[in-house]
Amino acid sequence: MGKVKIGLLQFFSITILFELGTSLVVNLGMAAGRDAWLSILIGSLAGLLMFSGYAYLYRKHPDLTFIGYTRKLLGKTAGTPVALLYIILYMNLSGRGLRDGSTMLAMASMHNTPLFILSMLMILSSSYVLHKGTEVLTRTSLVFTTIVLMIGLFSMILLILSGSINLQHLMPVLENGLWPVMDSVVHQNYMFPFGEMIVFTMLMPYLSDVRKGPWVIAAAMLVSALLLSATIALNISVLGADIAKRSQLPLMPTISKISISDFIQRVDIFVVMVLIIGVFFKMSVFFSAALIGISELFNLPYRRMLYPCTLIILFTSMLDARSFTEHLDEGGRLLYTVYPVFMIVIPVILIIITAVRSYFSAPRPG
Amino acid sequence: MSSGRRNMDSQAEAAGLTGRGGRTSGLTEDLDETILNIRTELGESPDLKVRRLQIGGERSVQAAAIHISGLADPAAVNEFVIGSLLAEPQKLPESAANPARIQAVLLDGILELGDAEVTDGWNDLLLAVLSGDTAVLIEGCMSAVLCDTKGGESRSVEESSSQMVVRGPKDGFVESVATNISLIRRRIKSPKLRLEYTRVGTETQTHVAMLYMKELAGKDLVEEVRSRLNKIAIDEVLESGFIEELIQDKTFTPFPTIFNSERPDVAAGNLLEGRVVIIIDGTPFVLILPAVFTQFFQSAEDYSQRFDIAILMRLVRYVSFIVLLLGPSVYIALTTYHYEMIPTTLLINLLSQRETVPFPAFVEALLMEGAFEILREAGVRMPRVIGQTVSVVGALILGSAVVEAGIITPIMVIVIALTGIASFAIPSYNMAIAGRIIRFGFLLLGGMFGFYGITLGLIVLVAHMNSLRSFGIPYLSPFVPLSVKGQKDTLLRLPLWLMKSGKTPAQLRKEMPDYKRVTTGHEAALAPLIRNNDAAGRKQDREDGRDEEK
Amino acid sequence: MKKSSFSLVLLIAIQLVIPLVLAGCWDSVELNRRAIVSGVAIDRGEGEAEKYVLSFQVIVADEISGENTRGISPVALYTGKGHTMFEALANASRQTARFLSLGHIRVLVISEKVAQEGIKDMMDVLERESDTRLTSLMFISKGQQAREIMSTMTVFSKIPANDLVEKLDTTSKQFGYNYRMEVDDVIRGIQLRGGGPVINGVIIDGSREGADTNDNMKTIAPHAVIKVTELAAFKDDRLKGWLKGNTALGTALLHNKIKGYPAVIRYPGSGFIAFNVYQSQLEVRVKAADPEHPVFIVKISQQVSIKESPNSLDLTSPETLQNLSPLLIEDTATKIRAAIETAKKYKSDYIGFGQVMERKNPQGWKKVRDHWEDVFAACEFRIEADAVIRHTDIRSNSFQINP
Repeated sequence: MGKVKIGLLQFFSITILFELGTSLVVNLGMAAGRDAWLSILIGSLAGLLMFSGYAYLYRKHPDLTFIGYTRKLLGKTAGTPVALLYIILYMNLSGRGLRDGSTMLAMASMHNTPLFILSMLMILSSSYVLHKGTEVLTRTSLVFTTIVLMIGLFSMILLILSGSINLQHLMPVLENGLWPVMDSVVHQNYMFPFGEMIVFTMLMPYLSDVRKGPWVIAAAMLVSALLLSATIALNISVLGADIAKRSQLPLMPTISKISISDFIQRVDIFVVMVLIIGVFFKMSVFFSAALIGISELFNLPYRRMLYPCTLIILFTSMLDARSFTEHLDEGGRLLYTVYPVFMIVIPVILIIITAVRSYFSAPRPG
Repeated sequence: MSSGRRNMDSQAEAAGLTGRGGRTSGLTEDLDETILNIRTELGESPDLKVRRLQIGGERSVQAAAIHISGLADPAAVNEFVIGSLLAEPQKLPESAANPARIQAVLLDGILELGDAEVTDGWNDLLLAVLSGDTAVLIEGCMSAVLCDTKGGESRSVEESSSQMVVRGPKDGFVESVATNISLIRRRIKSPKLRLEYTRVGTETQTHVAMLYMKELAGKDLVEEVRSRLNKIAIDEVLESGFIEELIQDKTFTPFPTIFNSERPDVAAGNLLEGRVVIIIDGTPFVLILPAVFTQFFQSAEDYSQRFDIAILMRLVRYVSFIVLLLGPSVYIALTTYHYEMIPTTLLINLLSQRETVPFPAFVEALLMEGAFEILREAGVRMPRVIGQTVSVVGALILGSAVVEAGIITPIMVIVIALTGIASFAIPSYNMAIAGRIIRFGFLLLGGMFGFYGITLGLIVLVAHMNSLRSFGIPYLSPFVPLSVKGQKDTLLRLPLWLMKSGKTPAQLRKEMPDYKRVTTGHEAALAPLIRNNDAAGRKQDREDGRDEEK
Repeated sequence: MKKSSFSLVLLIAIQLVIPLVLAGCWDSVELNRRAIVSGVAIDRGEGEAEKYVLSFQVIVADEISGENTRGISPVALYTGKGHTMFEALANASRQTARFLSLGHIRVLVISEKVAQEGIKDMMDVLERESDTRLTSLMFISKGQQAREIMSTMTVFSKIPANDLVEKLDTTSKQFGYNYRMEVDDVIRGIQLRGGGPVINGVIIDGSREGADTNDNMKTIAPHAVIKVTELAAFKDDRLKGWLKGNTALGTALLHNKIKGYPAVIRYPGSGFIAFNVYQSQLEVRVKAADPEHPVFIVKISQQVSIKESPNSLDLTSPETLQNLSPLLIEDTATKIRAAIETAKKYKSDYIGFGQVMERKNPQGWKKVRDHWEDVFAACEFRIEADAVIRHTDIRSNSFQINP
């Protein structure tokens, strides 16, 4: 004992919140038009495939984080720079998540509040929670997954009651064949949000059950893919593909269509809450992965780097781009060029090395 | 009792009673000198009564019975100690030249007391006398016979005034530890009920009793409580709050992590659920631990009412806690940030109310909340008769006057009043206070950032609660970590026949492997150390999640 | 070390919090700093510089539910002009003492003139602005200035915009062809290929004189009444014409938005019979093997009850009812046909047949979508109607039948 273990249910919930994160409110995969919901499902399959690779690595090194086995497999000299790159990646992703969240918040409701203040409030809360530890983060996620799901259910019921859903907006399915869908998958969906599961390689050593753990995470990925897909289908069926595509946060106008006898109206603040919760957990998971990585790589206590990292992430997010459009564009390009290296190429190399090593070491008895 | 007393002795020695008089022992073979020593030690106190006697027939021996009037029961002293010593002088054998032999005879055949024993410890003697015992000293004897004559005036068992029920037992704990234990023992007539005594407080030497059910309470839990109790180094213990503060897991939190009750039935129920009850002499409030969040929303009455009604009552309590926390802040956030959410007709209403009000809504809420806190504090401290007036003047006159004067909007008065009433619906006073404090934080967040601030505040609040533990048990269990079996008596209260296999804290504890956190004495208990002995630095150094090697 | 780190954290936290408290609350606006806009009228001004004339109907809450009313008007109208909508909004704020808050706009009235020039440009801000709501209802003021609609006192609701909303809801439940037309419906309508939105019309009935003062309601019959009227049919974003009577009803039926309407038929030899159509389900199918010549099949089934039968028909006999059904079916078919004919006349597929086509034959749709209005104008329609008379209300035969 002595080492913190995180229960399966907690992992399930943090995975769901991580996946839903910002993706729930943004117009994910809308490049595929009204088939976006399909592209999410296909993207999740690709994501699951990638995750099975990460799970393989985890099974082979159940006590090591990604950085741990990178250094073990590639050797100290080659492994350390790679590990460092991963830490930078996580901090960058965290900063980008923060920027996403605070900008969308500014667009959605806090028009006049400086972005810096919004970001700071968010990152301070995040660092408080991480100060309490990753386990606390995951346990907190359990509560908020419940809240998010309840908000979802509530909105769904209200939407149905106010008669805004028109399933015909989803038709025809695949009018241009599978290609635009696949195109959207290749450009975006296999990576965002599902490829980002690479960050869980940093957390999986804390799994309380080596055997069941990866399955639980995979199940959570599947569940969140279904939820995302359903949400996007909902957006399209309420707003029509075109409005959904042009909305920065399609879930907001969707929910704002709820109007029940002029009493319950404009509940889109719930969407803002979901947005805040999602962004918070997504960012915090990256943040904690970076912290775990740093403390492992430099042999530092986990908490010592908390506040420096907070500042780094805050300023990364602020200096990331001048406008949100630029930020999104940059994200799109990173998604296509840089992230695959980290999320596919390097893990694949590690998998090959692991497989080769275990193949050669297996026949030897004892 | 005897084992307890031995324990006490070592306690007293550890506490350094000996050091004070500068002497190791005041007990001498010379009776006069011993009496003088005792007198000096207790500062010639006039309430120290020394009764000199001649015991035995012809070959009588000088003896003295010493007690403190007011602490000892005079009837017991007169009848059972002095009376029996003088009653049958012939019983004292001829050969009682050996004073030690006399003591044995006293114990064997003369003293008509259930609890009497010989001691040769000076501190034991003093402590016993100060606790109300009568010490019988015999000339030429280095030891004293201590007779249990504790008594004197104390409050009788009455209905508890802080935790009322409509239906249920009406007796409440009193200030005497012995009475309190008897109240519990009367409810649990099981040999499994274990009782341990210890003394806490270098000056007050307060009796602290720890009760638990053997087999039901986890061994390690009992061990942990015992060790935390023994590590307390403090001068005085006047109330259970002292102990609570010193043995709780975490100081910097508004949430109570130890439950307290004035009701024997609650204590008994919790004992049977495997919890440990700590009774402190001098206060009717016993400590019950470990305590999780949901426990503070349970009332003894839940089990005397039908289960469906009990569920409803519980839900009302949880809802009122949420109202208490978020009521004013959500109102502020809605009106100053998210006015589009308010139904148009209601909005027009609010608008016309606000038309003449000079303050921003946030200041308005702060003022009213402040006024409300003052009112409550005034009402609590006032003598009961005036307390009524305070609430009438405060609530009714002040409330309607501010509205009439157009200083505060009526809707704000409604919101604040609702919040105030909600805080009374929570059965546990200390949980309600926690809510009241946190409410101000949310008010600030809601006023500055609207729902954004409130949402982040909620996340931080839940994370904070998740980081709490009560003797190793996660504070939010059985919700987080989720235990379906544990849900039987939390938000819901299932019928009793369904509830039988609920999880005891001991089982919960077993499921959490990383519970142990050793407090190292007084200062450690006051400021829990955040340990980081992980040289590798790659694991998280959660303060409460680790077995600490010494 | 532990203590120092803790106090450091505390220090940082305090330093962060204090400026927040002092300078915070960027977005917070007290309610009594807000002017709640209940309705907006959009008129065409003179020239380009004043293209949009926006009139904001602002609620004077004190007058509606306050204790010390001054006897002034419950709403106030502020007008701003500008090249763009946003500029006009900013312009109007010069007259208002408070922030014009658009979160509660119930009604957007566009003048006929703007509608004829095109509403595309002005829709953008309605969609983009996060404060406005997609659930606001849109109207076209027929032949009148939109601001006149917004400046007419109404009897039942102190706020004219609310009155208009309630009128629309009532009429859509009882009379038929007007139905809720919200902002996003209009946007989706504009995006229909070769089609356009259908928007409710609104007019002021009566004399304008004194319509904007309390005098309007001093007489039993108000001088001027806001009235929901015909449907405005659009091609793309331009107003093409007004639909009324059968045409309008048919259009509403084709949109499947109708809740109930009175149907009156002439029974040969025994005068008029009035029915209440209370259930109506319409489905459009298409045979689109040849995308250039699609055949649309409109299937409609209705449930009706007899409301008025001032004649000597024997309503106790099922045969009579069976004989009535074809007449009713014919009536419905006439309405639908009229609607389709009018749409063809305007060369505007505001009904959305194109979407049916797209769902059925996406590839074929791609070929025809750029000249869809021509294809639509030429294509064939079949109407398959069905009507069931469920009951005759609480009388069987009329007393006019002499035994």
